[in-house]
Amino acid sequence: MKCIEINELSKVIAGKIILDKVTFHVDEGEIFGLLGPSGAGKTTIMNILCGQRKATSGQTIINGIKSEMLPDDVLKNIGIMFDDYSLYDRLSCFDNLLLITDILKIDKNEIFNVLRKVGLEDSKDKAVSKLSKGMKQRLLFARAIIHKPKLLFLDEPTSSLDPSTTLLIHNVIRDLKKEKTTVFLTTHNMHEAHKLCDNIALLSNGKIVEYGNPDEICLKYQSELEVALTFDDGRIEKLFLTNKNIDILYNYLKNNCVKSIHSSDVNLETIFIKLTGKGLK
Amino acid sequence: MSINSIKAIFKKQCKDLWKNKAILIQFTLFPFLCLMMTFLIKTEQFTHMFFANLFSTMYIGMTPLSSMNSIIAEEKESGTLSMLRMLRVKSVEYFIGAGSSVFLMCLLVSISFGFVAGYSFSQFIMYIVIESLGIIISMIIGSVIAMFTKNQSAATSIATPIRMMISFFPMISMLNPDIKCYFGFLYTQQINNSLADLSNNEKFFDCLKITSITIVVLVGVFILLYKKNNKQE
Repeated sequence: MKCIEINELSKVIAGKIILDKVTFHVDEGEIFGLLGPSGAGKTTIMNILCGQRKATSGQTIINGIKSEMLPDDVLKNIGIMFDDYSLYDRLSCFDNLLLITDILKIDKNEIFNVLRKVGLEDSKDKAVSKLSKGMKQRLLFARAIIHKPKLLFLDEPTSSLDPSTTLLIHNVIRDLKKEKTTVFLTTHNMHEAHKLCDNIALLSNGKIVEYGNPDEICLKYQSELEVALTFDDGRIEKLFLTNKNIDILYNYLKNNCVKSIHSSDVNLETIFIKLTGKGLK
Repeated sequence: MSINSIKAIFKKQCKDLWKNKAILIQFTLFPFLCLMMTFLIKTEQFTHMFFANLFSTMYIGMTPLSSMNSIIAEEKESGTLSMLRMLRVKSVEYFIGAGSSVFLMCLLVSISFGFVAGYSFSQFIMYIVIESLGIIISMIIGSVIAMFTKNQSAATSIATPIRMMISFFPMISMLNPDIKCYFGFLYTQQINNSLADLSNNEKFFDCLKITSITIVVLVGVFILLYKKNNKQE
C-alpha cells in the first residue's frame, strides 16, 4: 500500500525551477532514500510533503490525503527531523523532549526510553548548548521518534556524524522499520542509502533521474565486471573481464607482477555521475 | 485551543526564562533604578510616587516588549517556532503560553513599583489593572516586531527605537507638561496620565478604553503575521 505519492510535483521560485514534474511513491513500512547533491531539491520535497511549503503544481498525497490538507491527528503521527528545526539551547535534553511529550500527551517515561535508544541517557540533564554536534543530532532524532510516528521524515540524519553515531542511528531506523514505520530520508551519502534503503530515487536539478531498489539499479548499470590491477612497479591498469582480457590477466598473474586486484563494481555514485555528469556531494 | 499546548509552552518558557540572563537583567534594572532614585534623591519635587510612576511607565514600555521580542526572534531564528507549528501549536496558544511567563514576571516587578509608590488598596487594584494592560500591549508589540523580522539582530534593531519612544515620551512629558497632549495617542502616555491621578475615574476609564482597543488591533496583526510566517513562498 502506498504511504506517500508524489505526482508531477513542480516548484518554481522567482522563475527558477526547483522541482520539475517529480513523480515517485513510497510504500508503507519501507525505508526510502532520496539522494541528490546539495541544492537538488530534496529538502523542498520534504517541506512540501510536511505542508510547510506549497507546490507550484502537482500532487503530494500521504495515506490517501493531500499533504496540504492533513488533519492534526495525522500530522501528530508524523515525525520530522530537519536540520533547521533546532533545539532549545539553554534547556536540558530531558526538558527539550518533555515539551514534546506534554504537547502530544505522551507518557513521560518515553523520554527515558528514547534517550536510551540514542545513547543519551547519561546526558539527560545536560544543557543542549553543552552537547557535541553528534549528540545534538541524536537528540534531534530522539525528538522525531519519541511519539512513535507511523511516518518519519529524516533530512540528512547522519550528515557530519562519526561512524559509531551513524551506525547507532541506522540501527534505530532498522528497528523502526520492524515496527512498520515508513521512513523517508534524504542523503547525499550513497553508502548509507545503499545499506539502509529498500528503494531510492536519485534527484538532480529537480528531476528524478533514477528510481528503484539500490541493488537492482546497480545491476542495471553494471554492464561488465571491471577489475583494477596494481603492479609491483606501482602502475595501475583497469581491465574489463572479457574473454580476451581474461587471457591478459592470466599472463600477468603467471608473470607474478601483480601486487593486488580489486573489483570495480558500479555503485550509486558512479551511476549518478554517469547519468548527470556530477557527483553526489 | 489546546490547554495542553499552552501549559507545555508555559512550563518550557518559565524554565528557559530563568536561564536567560540577558532577559533576567531587564527585569531587575528598572526596580533597582527606581529604588536608587527614590532613596537617594531628596527634593520635594520628586516624591516616591513620582519615581514609581516614572519608572513603572518606562518599565512597561521597555521590558515586556524587549523580552517577547527577544524570545520570539530567537525561536524563529533557531527553527524551534517552525517545529512548534509542525506540532500544530496555534499562534494564540503560543502567545498565551510563552507570554504568560513574561507577563507574570513583569507583573511581579510592577507590583514592587506599586509598593514604592505607597498606593491605597483601591488605588493598588486600579494600578495593577492598568499595568497589566500596558504589559500585554508591549508584549504584543514585541511579538509583532519579532514575527516581522528575519533574525534576532534585525528584531533588536527595530525594537530598540520603538521601545525608547514608547518609554521616553511619557517621561519627557512628566518633566514638561506642555507637550503631554502630543503623546496622548501612546498607551504608555495614557497609563502615565492615569497613574498620576488614580483617584480620577475618568482618566482611568479613558486609559482602559485606549489600551483595550490597542490590544485588539495588535492581536489581529500578530495572528496574521504568524499565519503568514507559517507558509513560506
